[in-house]
Order: sequence, then C-alpha cells, then structure tokens
Amino acid sequence: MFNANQSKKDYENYDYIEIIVKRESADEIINGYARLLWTLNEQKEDKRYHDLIHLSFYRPHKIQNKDRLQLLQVYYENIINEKACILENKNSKAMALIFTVSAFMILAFIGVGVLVYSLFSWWACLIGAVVLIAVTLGGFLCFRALKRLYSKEKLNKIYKCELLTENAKNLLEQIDCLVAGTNYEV
Amino acid sequence: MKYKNSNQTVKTIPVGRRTRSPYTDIVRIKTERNSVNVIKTLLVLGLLLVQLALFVLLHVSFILSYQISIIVSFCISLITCVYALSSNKNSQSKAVWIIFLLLFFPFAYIFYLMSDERILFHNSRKRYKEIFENSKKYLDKQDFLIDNEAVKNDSSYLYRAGDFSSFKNTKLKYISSGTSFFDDVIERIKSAEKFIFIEFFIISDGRLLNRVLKVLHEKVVQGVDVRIIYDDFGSRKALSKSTKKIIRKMGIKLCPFNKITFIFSLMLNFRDHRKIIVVDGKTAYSGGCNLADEYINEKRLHGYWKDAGIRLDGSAVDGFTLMFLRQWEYINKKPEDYSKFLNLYEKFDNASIVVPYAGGPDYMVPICKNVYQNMIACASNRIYIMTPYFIVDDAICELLINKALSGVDIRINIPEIPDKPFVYGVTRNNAEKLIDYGIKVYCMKNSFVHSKLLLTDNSVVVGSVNMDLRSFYQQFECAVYTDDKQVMQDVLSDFNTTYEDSVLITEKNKLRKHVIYRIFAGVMQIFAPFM
Repeated sequence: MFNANQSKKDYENYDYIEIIVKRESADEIINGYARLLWTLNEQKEDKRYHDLIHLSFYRPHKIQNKDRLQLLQVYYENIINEKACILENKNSKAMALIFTVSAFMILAFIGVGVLVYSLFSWWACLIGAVVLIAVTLGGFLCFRALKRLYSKEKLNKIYKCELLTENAKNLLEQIDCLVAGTNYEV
Repeated sequence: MKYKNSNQTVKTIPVGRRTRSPYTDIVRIKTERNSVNVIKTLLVLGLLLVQLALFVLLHVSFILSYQISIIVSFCISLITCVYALSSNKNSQSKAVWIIFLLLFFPFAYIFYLMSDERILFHNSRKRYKEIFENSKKYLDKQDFLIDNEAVKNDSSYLYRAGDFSSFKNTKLKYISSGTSFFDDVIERIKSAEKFIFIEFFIISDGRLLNRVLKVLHEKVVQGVDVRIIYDDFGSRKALSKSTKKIIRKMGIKLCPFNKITFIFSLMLNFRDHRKIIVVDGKTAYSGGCNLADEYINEKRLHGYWKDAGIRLDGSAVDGFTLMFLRQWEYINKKPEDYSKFLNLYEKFDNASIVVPYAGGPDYMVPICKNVYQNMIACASNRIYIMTPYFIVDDAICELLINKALSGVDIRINIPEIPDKPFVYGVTRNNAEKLIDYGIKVYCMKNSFVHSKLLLTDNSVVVGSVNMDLRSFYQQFECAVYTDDKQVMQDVLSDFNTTYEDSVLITEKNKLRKHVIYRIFAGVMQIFAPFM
C-alpha cells in the first residue's frame, strides 16, 4: 500500500532488499552482496527454522552500471543456488534404480520361496533354485553397474560444483571490475 | 536444545521449532507477492464461470428437449462458420473458431456472435470513430519529403491507416532498461509545469509507485493537471483500493480502462496495454515498462527483468498527447478542448522521421501487426526482434522464412525464464521452428525479456507491442516508429549486449527435440490466438 508518510525507508535515495539465507552460507552471501554495493542493514533469526537467517540490505539508488550489476546479481544468486541443489541431490537416479532392483530381488526371492514351499516337489525345487540363482546373479550384475553409475554421478557432481565455484569466482571478479570502472579480462 | 548463532551468543530453540528448513536454495529473495484483490478476482472469475455454465446447461437442455433444434443449431453453426471465414480475423483464429463451432455446435455459435468485434465492439467503435473525427482537426498534415523509400511507405501506411502524422524536429533517446527509464521519467516529472498524463497497463503498489506518487503529489499541489489511466484487469492484483483512494485524495485524476464487472461479457477481453507518459506536451515516453517494481528489478519475479523505452522531446510528443486524450475522452465520455494540450513542444534540429502510432480494436485494421510486417518485408540486411512472446500468424512467419532464405540476418531474442509457462511453450515452439531456416534464436540467460523491439536496416520500432496475436488484434497498443540513426545505433548496441548474455538455441539444446514437448506445443497452439 502507498504510504504518504514514508517512515524509515528513503525509497527516493536508496534501494532495499531482503533475503533469506542458509546460516552456514550467510558470511559468503554478505561478502558477495557487499561487492554488489549492498550494505547489510539488519540481521534477524527466522522464527520457524533454525538454519535460516533474514538479511536486509540497502544501497544508494543511483549507482554507476546499475543495470549490469542487477543482471550479475541474478547470475550470482543462481550459481549459489544451483550449487546447493547439486549438493543436495543425493544421486536420486541411482538411488531409485537401486531401490527398484532391491525390491525386485526381494519379491522374486519371496515368490520363489512360496512356490517351492507350496509345491514341495523335486522339479519345483529345481525351478526355484534356478530362478533364485538367476535373480541373484542378475542382481549382482545390476549392483555392479549401479555402483559404477553412482561413482560416475558423484564425479559429475564434483565437476559441476567446481565449475560453478569457478563461475562464481569469475563473476565476482567481473563485479569488482564493473564497480571499479575497469575492463574485465577473461 | 541450544546452538550458537553467527554472533556467538547462545540461544534456546523454542519447543516445537523444526531444526532444518525444507528449502534447497541458499539465497531466496523475499518478494512480496501482491495478493491485493485476489479474492475479488477469484470471485469475478467464479461468477463468470457459473454464468457460462448455466447458460450452456440451459441451452443444451433446451436443445435436447426439442430434437429439431439440434438440426437447427447445426445449420446455424454452419452458417456461422461461413460468417467467421468472411471476418477480418487472422487465419489461425478463424481455424480455431471453426473447430470450436463444429465441435460444440449446440451453443458455440452464440459465443462466436458474442465475441465478434463487428457486433461486440460496434458501439465502442462508433464512439471511437466519433472521437477520432472530432479530434482530426488537431492533426498535422505531412508536408515534407522522405528520401528512403521504405520509410516513406511505412510513414504513408501509418497516415492512411490511422491518421498518424510523421514528425521531424524531435529529439529521441533510447533507454535500454526499466531502471534508467523510470529514473529519467521521475527527473522529468519534477520539472513539470502544466500537465502530466500517465497511461499504463499495470500500476502496482510498491517502491516505484511510492517514488512517482511523491513527485506527483508535489506537482498537484503546485497546480499541475495530473491524469492517470490504468487497465483494470492488468492492475487488478497489484493496485490496492486504498492506494487508489489515496491517489484520488491527492487530487490526481485516476481512471480505470474497461472495468472488470461481474456480468459475463467477452468485452473484458479488450485491454489497454499502452505505456504512455506525457509531460507538458514537451516530453513523452513509451516502451515496454509498466509502473511496477519488477520492471526496475527491485522485485524478483522471473530472474532479471530486461526492458526498454524511448523518450521523445519535440513535435512528435503531440502524437502521444492526442492518443492519451482520445482514450481519456472515451473512458470519461466527456469531450474536451484538446488545443490547450497541443503545440507546446520545443523544436529540435533533427531531420529523422518519428511516427508515434497506436493500434487496437478501435481501428479497422491491425496497424501494429502490419507495421511489423511491412518493416520485415522491406528489410534486406537485418531483422532483429526482441519480444517476450513470439506467437505470430502465418503471414509474418512465412515472411521471416522467405527473408532468411534470401540471406537476411534474422535474430529473435526471447526470455529464458517464462512468466506464463504455457505461453512460453508456444513461444519457444514457434521460434525453434524457424531455426531450420537459418534464423537465430537467442534466450537471454536467467532473464525475462520484456522489451518489444524490431530493428531493420531502415528503421526501428520501440513500444508496447508484443509479437503475439493478442497485441496485434485484441489489445490497445502504442509504439514509436523512427529512422533516427542514433536510436538505431543504440538499439543495435542493446541487441549486441543482450546476445552476449544469451544462449543461442541450436539443434542440440532446443526443446522441440523432445516428442512430448512437440505434442504439448501442438495442443497449446489451438489457444494461440487467445494468448
């Protein structure tokens, strides 16, 4: 709502932003935003979650290269969040496959067991044994393949995180150059 | 449980407080989503749907009671199909309507007739015609020669189609961001002496409105005539009732365009998408920016918000003054003497042609679409397009393809982050189809591109006109057409900077390679005329 008597915030001369950050990354974010010319105004605890902090910043409304800084700020936030997403993602594909295969194995084993128990004849026992061996062997091979997939995914994750860290570093250098008014060299 | 916070003081967590948040993101911007008038919007929507449903049920039960009426309805639907084919609608709309008429023949023809502009908009168009006739005397006649053939043809078209005069002696300034645009506007408004006219699709509570209203309030106290038109649908979620009261209390004349009502009417479809600011008849602004915080990136909705605008100082300002006054007269139904608001400009030494123009249901032809089409047709070196939506008809599509195959450098810049996922799906689909013909499609990274720009070798258009069928046929739009070399150079620089921040869509990264996406886009194409 419009407030004719603007109380504390001077919207004419300053811009304001409020963000919610993870506690362990608060210092990194504050430093990053400082390079974007944001000054920390206030820091508050989240009322609900222990690992979140509310930070509010301000900066002068008229600054040089503001458009570019706004764009780089969005890039910076996206890189930070993408990195968090990758680290949080616990190899979901591999886990899902492992779960499916394990479930299949257990079910097959139970099924075979029931078949053998109910029929109780030599050929049923033979079939059951063959199926059991096949399932076990198949399961073992699946497990080996999945283990390789899991390691590959882990390496991929590490590579992506390193790349994002490098991108973040370059971005911050770009921001520093922009603020200083110098040319950024790749 | 006790923990240490970053200031190394120990605090106790209250009982029942969860220890970890469920969010993955490290940084989240606290964006106050404007939920003003959400209840009213939902209520209106609900009532409209109920009316629609009742109408359909009553009609269908009537038809089922009298079986002969099924045959009669089918015949009427067939006749309506022929009627639709003869209409001025674009071919895509016609096709969609014909499918709708035949599939739902018991009642579809009633909806068609309710939506047909020749019937629905008849009275409004009559009023607009009257207003245009009465205000024609204020128009300047073109009395100068234009060297460039393409510019001459475009200028001639705009004059014949909509009585839009071409102007010289106008200083232009292209502004490549919303932040810079509104900083310039606020600075200019501070020195206003006579009148300030403002027309936006969206006016939203927030920091930008606070800044602008603070200055406007001072101006009203000084005796400046301040008038604001806002679109009632565009601003429904963003501009609160209390703010409207405060604005009116300040002495600012505030008028909504096409108020949302509880009664079902397809007239609600016609919206005022224009963005106009006129100050003292000496300066005018237009472009893609609305009066809301996201346009200046002080609110995060869809990544970085890329926008653009243009400032005019000089004779061409009268074009926008006239546009605003006509719309004001239409809304208020009170004729006014326009002469006190015109011919107040300063003359600048600039030989460039400037044509402020408008488009919408108030004109017989789709002017905005035809200007784009004509510019594309006359281009021989480059066609650069920047638009948030790319939902065009076959005419423009085929023109672009032919131009691309003739060797013209065509580039389309669209957003990477959508504001409306379904519309974005159709936009990406339409743009990616053109890649096969050598047209380059760029998506600006982590951004929502809201600028509406078309740059060719001869001229440039900066305005509020999206490259979509809604802007071409259903919305009131405005733009500036010019061959000013400096503006063209600035727009070109803006394009080049944007390409550096964009991803080029290729065969490898296009969405169309997924079958499911192609099916989805194909289905959504049915609704393209209404997007």
